[in-house]
Amino acid sequence: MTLIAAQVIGRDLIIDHKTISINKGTQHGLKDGQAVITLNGVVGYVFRPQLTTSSVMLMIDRYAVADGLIQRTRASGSIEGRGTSSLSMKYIERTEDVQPGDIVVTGGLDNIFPKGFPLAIVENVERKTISISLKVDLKPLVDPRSLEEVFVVSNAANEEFQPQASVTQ
Amino acid sequence: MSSPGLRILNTSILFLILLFVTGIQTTLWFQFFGQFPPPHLWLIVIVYVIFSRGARLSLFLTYLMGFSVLSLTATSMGMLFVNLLILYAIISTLKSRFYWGGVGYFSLMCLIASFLFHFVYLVTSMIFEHQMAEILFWSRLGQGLLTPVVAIAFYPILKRLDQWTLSEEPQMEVVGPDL
Repeated sequence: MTLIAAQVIGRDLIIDHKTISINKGTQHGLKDGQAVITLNGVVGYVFRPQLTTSSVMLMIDRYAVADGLIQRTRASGSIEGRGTSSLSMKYIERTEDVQPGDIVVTGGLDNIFPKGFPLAIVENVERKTISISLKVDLKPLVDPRSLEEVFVVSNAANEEFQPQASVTQ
Repeated sequence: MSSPGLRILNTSILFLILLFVTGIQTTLWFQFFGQFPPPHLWLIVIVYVIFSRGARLSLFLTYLMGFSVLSLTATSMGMLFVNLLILYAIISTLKSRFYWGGVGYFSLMCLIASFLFHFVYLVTSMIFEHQMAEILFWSRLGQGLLTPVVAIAFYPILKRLDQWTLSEEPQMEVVGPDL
């Protein structure tokens, strides 16, 4: 897995959108839809690369979506941002075993993030009697407020997260 | 009457100021103030344009300024233009009804514009977007309260720019928008 290091240089003009700008763009090899991570976990994905800078949609943005798994039980679902500091995991069957404190990792099906990369931690699980799926609240492992440097994954398709990776700048 | 060249210079400098303050808002602000919401610096410039230019020109410049800051936000062009149009209509109407000029009035209008922008954005998001924007009450409140404070510093700069590049004071229209 090849990573491209980048620095965070800006935030979104309008507070309704949770995006950041980084100082790498298409001339550095960035493309639309590439995963953006830090050593602690998933940050988001590139959604508007320009020549020397790119916009990154954070996972907490209300339009951000990723495929996720509960690391312990391998229950799969869809991770969605809420526009606040938390995430939600949807479309998990009611019968699945999900507990607060469980780690959520990327599922790899969206071909954006490498599989198995830490994304969030379960904060609350709600089982409604009239719903066929669980309502799971997540807290992202990466605090987007303290981001200074990130890594862009050059090609996450069919990659599985492994501890050692080559880093280019 | 100022020459066309000076008017072009005036508009160009306005756009430069817009891009400069937008850069401050998106890049420098969070370096110093962290997560504290920045004031609507770009909106201050747009409000000034609405007040200091004729109806058609100010509407055109409002759209053009909105277009020029589009690359710094994930907001879609349609959403931004709809919001700016509604904001323009309301601010223009208020200007035609209540006008007394000066830095205090400008600051008050920037306060109204900042809160209006948030309110209109929430409403248009509810109507047009399938994922409605979050309320973010404290962030919006902080942004709305900070904008008029900063507008007090901007007003003399923008006014001086108009005095230098436009040979006479720009006419503040006190009638309704020329439709």
